[in-house]
Amino acid sequence: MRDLETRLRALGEHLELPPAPDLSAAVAARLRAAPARRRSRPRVLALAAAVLAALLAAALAVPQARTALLELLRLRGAEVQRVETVPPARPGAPLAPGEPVTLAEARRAVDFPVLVPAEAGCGTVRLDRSIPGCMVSVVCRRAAGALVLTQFRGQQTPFVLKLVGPSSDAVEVDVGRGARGIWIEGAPHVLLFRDANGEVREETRRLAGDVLLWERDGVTYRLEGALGGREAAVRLARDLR
Amino acid sequence: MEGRPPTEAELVERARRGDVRAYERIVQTHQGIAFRTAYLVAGDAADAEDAAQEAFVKAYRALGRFRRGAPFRPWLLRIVANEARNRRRTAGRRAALAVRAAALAERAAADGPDAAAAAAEERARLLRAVERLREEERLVVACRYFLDLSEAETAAALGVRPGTVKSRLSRALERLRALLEEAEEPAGA
Repeated sequence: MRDLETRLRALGEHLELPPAPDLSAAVAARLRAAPARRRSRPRVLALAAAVLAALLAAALAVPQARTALLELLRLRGAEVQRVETVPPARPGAPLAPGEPVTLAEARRAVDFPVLVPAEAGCGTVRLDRSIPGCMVSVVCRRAAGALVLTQFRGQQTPFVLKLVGPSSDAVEVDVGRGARGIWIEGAPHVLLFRDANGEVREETRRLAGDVLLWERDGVTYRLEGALGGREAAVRLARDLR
Repeated sequence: MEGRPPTEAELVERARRGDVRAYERIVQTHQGIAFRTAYLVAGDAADAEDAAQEAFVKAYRALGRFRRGAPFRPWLLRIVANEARNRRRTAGRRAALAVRAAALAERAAADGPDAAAAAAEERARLLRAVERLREEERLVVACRYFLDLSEAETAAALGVRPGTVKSRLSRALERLRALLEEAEEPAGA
């Protein structure tokens, strides 16, 4: 037995296997070209956690604010955190950021179908190229004011964190075809989301109005502005094609 | 920390946190054995290179699931062998040692000295016997003796339990002995 094993090992030393190629450069190039989700996720979570920790610390600094996080509403991949204080808003930020484009230009720029509400007055389209995969905002003029439908592609596992103040209501709604949404009423709020590269972005626009937020096929949609109440907003979302 | 090169566990930890340069060093350490394992399983050099590269990328992305402090090589070889098996199946190829037994004998003849030629002839005979083993036996012999993998690494690479490696190996050695005797009999007669 020993002898045979020794002979086999000696044979192994004489076998002509093809020379091993250097793989390290190719592997490193692939990893740098497409950072893994696994790699970005902890960083994303760390960032989100840091933001939350800061919020929590700020809230707890106020003696009365014993219950800084009042409620947590969780949808698939989306979370709404209700907090005592919302981070300060960037004043004067436009409702629909980005450059004005035509609908056709916006559709060419993104890899998801750009949805437009089926009503008159939705001719204003803006394209924000600072977000990987681009963010499209469609603005509709209504008698009561402007309505904005924002759409962008998040990661496969969407990450949307919406921080709302204590005086608002956030409820889960059904926006049709299996998608659930979050309806936030009467709230100053801030949106954190993960873009297509896995980076957390913070939108520090403080909105006083109602918001409907949902996700379908990897695309995050947000309706806000002159929505005319929850039922009208949900109906609008369901009818979007 | 500064005075010595980082240990593998430290490199793995750094790679887990997204340090591609640390991972590059891990790749450099293991690419030889990864390629040879893939080659033995896939039976083709291009497929083996492809499988090994893919395995390193997948392993990096799976580092979050790697148990801290566990040996890295068996874990990696399991991924490598899986990739290699997939390619072999796609190619409809049977796992071959793909080694050049004839070349071994020829080189021995050219070497001249009788003793060296005899040793080479003996190796060629042993290799022919190995190639007559059943595939699962041939692979276990190749992993253990040609690649010098440990029992645990062989088990990981072949996707079987360590106990199976043991029993398969002892069966393979028994078969080999019988094959060698069979081959020697006519010559000795």
